[in-house]
Amino acid sequence: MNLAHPVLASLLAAAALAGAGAAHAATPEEDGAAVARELVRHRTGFGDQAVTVTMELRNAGGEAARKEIRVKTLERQGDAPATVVILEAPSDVKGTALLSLGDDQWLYLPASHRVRRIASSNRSGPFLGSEFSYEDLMGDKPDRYRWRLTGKKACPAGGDCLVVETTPTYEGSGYSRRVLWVEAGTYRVMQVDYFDVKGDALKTLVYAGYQTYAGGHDRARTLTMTNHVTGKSTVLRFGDYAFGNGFTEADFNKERLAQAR
Amino acid sequence: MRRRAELAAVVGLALAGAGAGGCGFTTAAGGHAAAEARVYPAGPRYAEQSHGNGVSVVLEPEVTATSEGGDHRLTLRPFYRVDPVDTGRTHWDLRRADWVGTFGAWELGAGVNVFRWGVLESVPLADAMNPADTIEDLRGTEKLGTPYLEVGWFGGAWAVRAYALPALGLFGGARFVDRGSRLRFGPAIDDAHPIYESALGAWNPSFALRITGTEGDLDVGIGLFSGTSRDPRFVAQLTSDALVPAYDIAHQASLDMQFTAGEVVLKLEAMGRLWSSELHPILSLGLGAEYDLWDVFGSGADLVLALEWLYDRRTVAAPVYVFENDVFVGFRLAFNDSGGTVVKAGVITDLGDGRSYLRGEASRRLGEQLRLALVAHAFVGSEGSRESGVLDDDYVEATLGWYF
Repeated sequence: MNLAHPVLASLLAAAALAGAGAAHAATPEEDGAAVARELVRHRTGFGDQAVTVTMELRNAGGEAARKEIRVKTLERQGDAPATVVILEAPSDVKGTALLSLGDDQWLYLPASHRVRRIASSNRSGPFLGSEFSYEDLMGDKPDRYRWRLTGKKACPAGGDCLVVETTPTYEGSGYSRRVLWVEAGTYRVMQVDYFDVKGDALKTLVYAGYQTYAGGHDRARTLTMTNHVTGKSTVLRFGDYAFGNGFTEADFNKERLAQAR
Repeated sequence: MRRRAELAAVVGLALAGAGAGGCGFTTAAGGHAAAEARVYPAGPRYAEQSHGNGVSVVLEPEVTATSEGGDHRLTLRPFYRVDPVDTGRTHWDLRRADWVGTFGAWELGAGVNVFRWGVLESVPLADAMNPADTIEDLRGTEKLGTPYLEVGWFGGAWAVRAYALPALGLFGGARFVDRGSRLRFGPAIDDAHPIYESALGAWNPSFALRITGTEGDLDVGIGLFSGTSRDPRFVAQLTSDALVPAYDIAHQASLDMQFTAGEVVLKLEAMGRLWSSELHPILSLGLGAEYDLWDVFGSGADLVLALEWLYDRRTVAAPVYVFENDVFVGFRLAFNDSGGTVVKAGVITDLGDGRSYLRGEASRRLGEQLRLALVAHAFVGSEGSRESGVLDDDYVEATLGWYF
């Protein structure tokens, strides 16, 4: 999955399944599926990508801790993208690497020289102490969400947005639903609201500084995840994306995590 | 032994030089240095032993050189511990000094490295390729680097790696503390004069094959090893009261499996020595279960509970192993905070006589580059058991590591 757009991997997959949907969309569900298809069309075809990210963790008092990560992604035929997240700093955990192949995740810890699969119940847990959970970093498999277009509103940062609600249909999610704010026309995701299992507002993810790379790939420069319960936030600042790195599935074998850079 | 060590140093330096001087390579330096203060509340058991209370220093720098595109990488990671009080713990090693080249799905490697097999938390019973650094960890969890040549193939879910191991290790075998050190298993062990079954000594080539893969919720690993065993027997001498390690030629196989289903993880690890010239068959087995309670205090902390059963059958003449029928109970509490605070503790207990080995550890990051760890070890048992030599060696340790 693509860290820049944590919810999009699921969108891609769901729409891939939706494939040849109904022509005359009438219900909010059909409209939602149509948005999902458009999101897929705007998000696929990049092949592979690599990017360096600075992760800034802020507590409610404004104190910050920084981490440096590298993210490599490979699109896979008929499956969610494969992703490796490699920790560059802080230096005591440098080389820690997380592999996501759809629902399955493996973590390599340099201190133990071992790769271990992460229990899927742990997917709601925070990744590296950030406001992003393992679930947010996970590539999803097809038909794992129900889609519903709830309306068209002004985007929080201006412009027109399609507001889509997605409900997970898989076990063990930390969310009851997510609300996506998608810019009309460009199909750029501008904001995602996360609601906990009780239905209360939990987190908000804001995308900013979209940039269009050669090939028409839109990527946001900054992602800010704010936790409304704790007041903590995590800011991801993306460097320049590199496309066409020639990654293959072999580069995403769990046994290669020890060598990942 | 000294010549081997010198050779290793030359190989390491050559690799570092090639890395730094090679065109198109990006070099990076990192690693860590640590000061460890250790206190043994009880005095030593044997008159010749140091009291061991003091500060030792660990240096483990790492230099890497990576080619443009990352297909070739040279890594140099020496390890050095200086203990001015318990001088028997002063030692060095090359944990890694190698080149790894990636050619699509294929990988070639040459140099010195540490290879870990297996899935258990309590003991590394499937590991076969590296001699143990028991100065660093009595259970053999810490390994000495071993010279190797590797050909590997990686698919999407499976990987096959074949290794040729030209020598037993840089020091001709596992490392043990000397007679003046704490944490001695009773008799002193003279690791400077080992015995080898092979006429080629420590240079008898060994071979290993590692197959790993994923099938649904199952992770599987198969390990085959043929050559000079990394796990020594101990032989009494006429000229000294110290035991000498003896390395047999052996053929062994291992299987490790992990089944991950929701919050439950089930583990199996088994090792069998199928053949050795004096026929000392070994069957070693571990079964484990882990239960993962995420977000345990509603604070995002992750608590993992682990239970493992260790079973072992071997002849009296086979290499010494103390976990014949033991149970490990432990937990790991990760707070998932920005300091990466982790608390873990475990106890391995012999179901026969109750002798136990307890370990607790808490650590957290201080600022960006420091990490503080507090560790406590305790041994419970009766006189006369094979590991009674460590019964007075309970200790606590504070480590401040600087990561750069």
